[in-house]
Amino acid sequence: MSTDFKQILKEHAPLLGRVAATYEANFHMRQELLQEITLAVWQALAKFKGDSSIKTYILRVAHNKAITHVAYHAKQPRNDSYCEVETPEPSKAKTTDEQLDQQRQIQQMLIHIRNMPIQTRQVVTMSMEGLSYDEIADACGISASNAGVVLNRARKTLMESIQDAQ
Amino acid sequence: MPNNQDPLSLLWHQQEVQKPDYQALQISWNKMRVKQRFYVLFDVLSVLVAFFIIWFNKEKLDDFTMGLMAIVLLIAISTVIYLTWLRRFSLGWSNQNTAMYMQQLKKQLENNIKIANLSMHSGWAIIVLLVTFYGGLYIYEVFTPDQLLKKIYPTLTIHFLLLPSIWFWAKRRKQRFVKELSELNKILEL
Repeated sequence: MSTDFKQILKEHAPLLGRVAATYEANFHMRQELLQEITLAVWQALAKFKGDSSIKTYILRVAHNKAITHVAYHAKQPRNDSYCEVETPEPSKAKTTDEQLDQQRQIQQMLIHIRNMPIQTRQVVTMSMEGLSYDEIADACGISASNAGVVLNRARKTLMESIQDAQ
Repeated sequence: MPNNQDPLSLLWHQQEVQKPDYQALQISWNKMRVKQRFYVLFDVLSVLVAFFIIWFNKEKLDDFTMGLMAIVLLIAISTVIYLTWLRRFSLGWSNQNTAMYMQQLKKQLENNIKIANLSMHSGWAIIVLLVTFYGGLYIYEVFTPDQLLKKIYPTLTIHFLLLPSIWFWAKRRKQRFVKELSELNKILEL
């Protein structure tokens, strides 16, 4: 792996982890997806021509890979002994009520995002990663106005679900 | 960067995330490259074997065997070209926009089903070729019946074991791609 690519991957690793979390609830499956996404991004970096920001490009490749993963794994039989842990072991650090509340809200948000149609999920994720309407539209293959409509509807639903969880 | 005014964005960036395993990634990358090179090598060899048999034995082979080997070579070349054409979507398009990516993924899965079908039915083609080959050798009296039988037995044994295995392998692949396509169609309909 070239040093530049490794550096780019390390810088964007948390972003890739967040994308993986919107497609897989199961801890081990999510790790597997994260590996697949990172590998796809690594391969695609060599073809990056600078037409968009590196972040937009990485998010586009990551979502495309995640879609392939969903189609492949949706009907794969799972062994009964397969770990069904949804989240990693909680950290041993002291957890306050406020932090527990926040974790509950994050879980609620992720559950709702995972249930969204692929396009909405992609628009929401990219928006929360700081992409503009134009960048989102370019990555998803839709118009900027459509991206705006999809995002506003999704945000409203998400906010309601998080408020319900409080 | 998170938008500090947006509660959703703040929450989004506060989630704990898993990290990729870079060592495992390097291993996957190496494996993938070996696998891709193996596929290309296998395709090229399937053409070259028939070619070299003809080339190095052109003076020893009878007209019938030469003709049949030339036909096999033509079929092999056409098949390799067709398979490469069917696999064309699987190379270098992961960076396209998602709407286009999903359409191409669908097309590639449809093509993968065609490739699996071709692999399944290649067994029948091999049987037809073998019957034609040995039938021709008998009719044109290239070998005595005893010599011919000595050649037929090992060939039949190998194909008796090999062809059903290829058929089951291709059938499982076809079932897998049909399921994947069905899931992808569901995603597209959402």
